[in-house]
Amino acid sequence: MRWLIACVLAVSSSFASADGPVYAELQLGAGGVENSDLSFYPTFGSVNVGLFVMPNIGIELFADSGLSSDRSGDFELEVEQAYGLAVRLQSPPVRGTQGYIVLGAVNYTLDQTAPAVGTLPASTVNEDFTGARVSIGVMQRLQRAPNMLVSLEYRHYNAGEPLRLDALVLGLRFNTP
Amino acid sequence: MKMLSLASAVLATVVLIACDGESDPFEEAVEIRELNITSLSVVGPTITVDKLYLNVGESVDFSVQGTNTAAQPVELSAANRQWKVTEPEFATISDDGRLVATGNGDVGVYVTIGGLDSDVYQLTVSDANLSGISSITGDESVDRCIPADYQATGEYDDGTIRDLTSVQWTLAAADEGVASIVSNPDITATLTGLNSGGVTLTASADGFSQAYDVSISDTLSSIVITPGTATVAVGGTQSFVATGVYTEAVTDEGANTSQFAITESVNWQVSDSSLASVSNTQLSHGLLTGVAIGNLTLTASCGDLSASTPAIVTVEEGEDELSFNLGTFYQLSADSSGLFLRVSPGTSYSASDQLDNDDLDWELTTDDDADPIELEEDGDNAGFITPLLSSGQATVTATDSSGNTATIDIEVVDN
Repeated sequence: MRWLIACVLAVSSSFASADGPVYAELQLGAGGVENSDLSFYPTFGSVNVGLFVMPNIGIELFADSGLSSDRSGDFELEVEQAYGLAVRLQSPPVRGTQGYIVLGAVNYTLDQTAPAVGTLPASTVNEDFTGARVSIGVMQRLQRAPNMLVSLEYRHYNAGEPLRLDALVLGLRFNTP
Repeated sequence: MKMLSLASAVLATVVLIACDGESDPFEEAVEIRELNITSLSVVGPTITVDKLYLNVGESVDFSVQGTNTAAQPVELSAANRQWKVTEPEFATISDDGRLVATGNGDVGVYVTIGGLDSDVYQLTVSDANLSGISSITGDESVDRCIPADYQATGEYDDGTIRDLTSVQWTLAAADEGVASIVSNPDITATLTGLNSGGVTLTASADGFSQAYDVSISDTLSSIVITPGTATVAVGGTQSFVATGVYTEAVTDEGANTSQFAITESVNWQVSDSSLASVSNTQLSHGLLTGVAIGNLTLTASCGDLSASTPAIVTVEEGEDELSFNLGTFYQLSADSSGLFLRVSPGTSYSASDQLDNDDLDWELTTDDDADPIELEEDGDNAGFITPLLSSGQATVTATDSSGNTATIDIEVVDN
């Protein structure tokens, strides 16, 4: 019975301080790309715009753009861009903290280059990928700005073997009042 | 519950989203750079004419070769590559480089590996019928037991000359003891002269045929079997090599003598098949297997000429508890790129029981001043031998953690 009361209170309190239906988020991410024996850590920025269709369930559009490439061996790699559609599933807040999972379909572009060295020719590989993107993270509401939340998430892009693309993303979210 | 259902539905949808996009080129780019490859070439089938012509419906396999910064060729896998044709309406090509002709016209074939484009291989699809065999090419004179390749070209009703791929090669019935002919998977056939004389080779295709006379020289003067003596365990194996000594009179002062390995061309025989058996199967000619304890002789013959000195073989109970995949003697060509030695427990090698080379202690010994081969003793390449000199002999010993050993003599020969 105590669990039931706690759950009812938690849900009703989240509705009581419920955010508006629209939210936007700015994110800064550091990707980790594994290719053969090489590891790349390019950075990128993201913008998400979403709409809560049910309490704690939102549908959002997202777009990423590469901020910096990373070099490993002779190669340089950048997450050029990404965009897609996702569903956000978040937990009710507990002391302003919420966990969330974002499941989405994504199209993204990786760009890998190597300069010409001696008689070795320059190399450029630029490929588009379409697949799934899965994020799991936590966010904390700011006490002094109740409509703003900071978030930290782990993200995985489905790239297919032998490539692997993961990212750690730091975000700042704005909810409409 | 509604949220759980929605989450489950979304999760299922995401899981079902198939990843679309080629990730291989990223890895290939690293592969290409690590191999120091500067250019790529498409390698087509062996042809003797100027250009490859195909009928509609015919298929052909392409491979790819790289050239490194030292201008040396580098073999690359043709599988799972980005193969492309310049004219998709005339031909299609699979990821493994298999092209299928679909319409008449000129087609270019190329492959992209890690962002590097190969040169373009040009061929023509022209649906035509064979109108006759135009020529047979190959040596008009051959030496006994030195195989020689032959191929035939045909004239088609579109005026093109093409290599014939489906040819039936025959010898006249009277020639069958003088030579043998075997069709190869490529466009060639291999003729092996057994006795001196002349034979008539006939190529037949689609109702057309053409004859070609070949003479077999009487230059084979003797056959030498190596090793001359050997001990083989019951159930163990030993490879023997036959070397032909060819003598050709060139001046009044003497004869010019040369030697060739003819292991695959001679007929091997044991004096007592109850004690040992010997293989006359392609690529394992001369491989003797001990059956029962005893002494026997091994002979190699080319037509009516047998080795002057048969090898003496003793079959005994096995003592070594390790065995090499190549027996106890192997002749390594000086121009080979090397090979792995493999070891298994027991008196004869068994691939299914193969030991990890890195778990064995490897040792190379030689009586010569310099090692004729290089032996990798540790790591993933342990047991890999590479010829260093044009000739010489060395012994490789592998020892397992229990102290069991196996030895093999490696002779480097300059063929």
